[in-house]
Amino acid sequence: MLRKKIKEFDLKIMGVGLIFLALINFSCQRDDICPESTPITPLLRVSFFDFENPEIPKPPTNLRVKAADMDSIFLNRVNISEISIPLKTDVDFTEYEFILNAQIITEGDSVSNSNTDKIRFTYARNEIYINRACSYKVNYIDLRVAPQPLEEDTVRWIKNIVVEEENTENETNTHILIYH
Amino acid sequence: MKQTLISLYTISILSLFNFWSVNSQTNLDTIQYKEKYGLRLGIDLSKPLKTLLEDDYRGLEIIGDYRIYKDYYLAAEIGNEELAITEQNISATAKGSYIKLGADYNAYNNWAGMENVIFVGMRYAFSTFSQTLEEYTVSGSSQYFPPNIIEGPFETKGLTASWVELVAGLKVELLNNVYLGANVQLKRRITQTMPSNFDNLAIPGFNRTYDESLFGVGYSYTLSYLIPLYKKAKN
Repeated sequence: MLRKKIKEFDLKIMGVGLIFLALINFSCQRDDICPESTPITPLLRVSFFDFENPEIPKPPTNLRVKAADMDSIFLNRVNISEISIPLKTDVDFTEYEFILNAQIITEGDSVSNSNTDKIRFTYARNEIYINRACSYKVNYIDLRVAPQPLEEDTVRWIKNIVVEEENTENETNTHILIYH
Repeated sequence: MKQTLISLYTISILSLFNFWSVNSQTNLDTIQYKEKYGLRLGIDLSKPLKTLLEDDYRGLEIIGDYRIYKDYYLAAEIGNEELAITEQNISATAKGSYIKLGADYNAYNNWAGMENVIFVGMRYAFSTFSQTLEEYTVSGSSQYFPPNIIEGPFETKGLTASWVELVAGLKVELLNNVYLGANVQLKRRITQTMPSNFDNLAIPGFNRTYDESLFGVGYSYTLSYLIPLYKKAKN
């Protein structure tokens, strides 16, 4: 009699235990962090080449890169032949200033031989759903570039710009070639 | 985790009640006892409770089962839910109704005079709903520009989903014909229609979905009343 009762109670505990285990298992959620390997909105890859020898990469000297309507600087005084810059995802254009021979900002009044060229990137935006963790990304299509009017008595240091990839869906290819 | 603790607590209380009733029933072995057959109707207690406690949830579910033969029951649930999903970069709301049809098997060998249920069951479930994209932030690898937050709502109506469920749980007769129960559900999606360029982050009746997975989970706390229709001897 007692033995039977114990057996019945064991069964009950087992049932409760199973339910409890099932609940524990599913309280851990794995898919809430956007993994770095997931392609999200691509950066624009810009490569600099020598205007005289178009095959040869040529890093601009002390290049500063900032968006025309931003106070903060994206890249300051870099000497590399390839950069990756973000484009705006809320409007169809982004204007960047590429400043050659940028001075150290604290130098203030010192004689500056810096040269600012302004480039406007225009594009159409294609929003694509990725997943719940990464939300949406934007692919830029039909990318175009237009040098903006210069301030007086400066000379353009950028001689030519070529759009290599009109649609930017990844960051593996160079999208823009700049010759100087 | 909080839910798990609550459920453990509730289940413990339920089994305690049951244990007491085991103790109170003795020496009835010799009596030929008749078991009640009938329609059991009730509600899922967790849904109205969550409606009160959580701002972004609203739901009601009516449950029912009908004992057809010995330990076998036809079972159904019908409900309406509004579920909000808020992730770091995206939020959405699912709104709609669902029906679940299937059967339960009582795996518990009752003592004479007791009619408790520890059951496993299967359901086929179908839901019609809308999915509303409330807000999202476009993902970019650079923080240079301020985050681009796009606010909806963008609603897609007329969506459907179907799935099968494995249910396991218990129903304890607390008072005469009044049952308190708890169960867990493991769901596997069969079909779903999705909004274009978006996903179903939640489905009424199915709960939240998981990326790259067809499975879902759920739980219920039920309160039900057995309408006895006839009695039959337990053999």
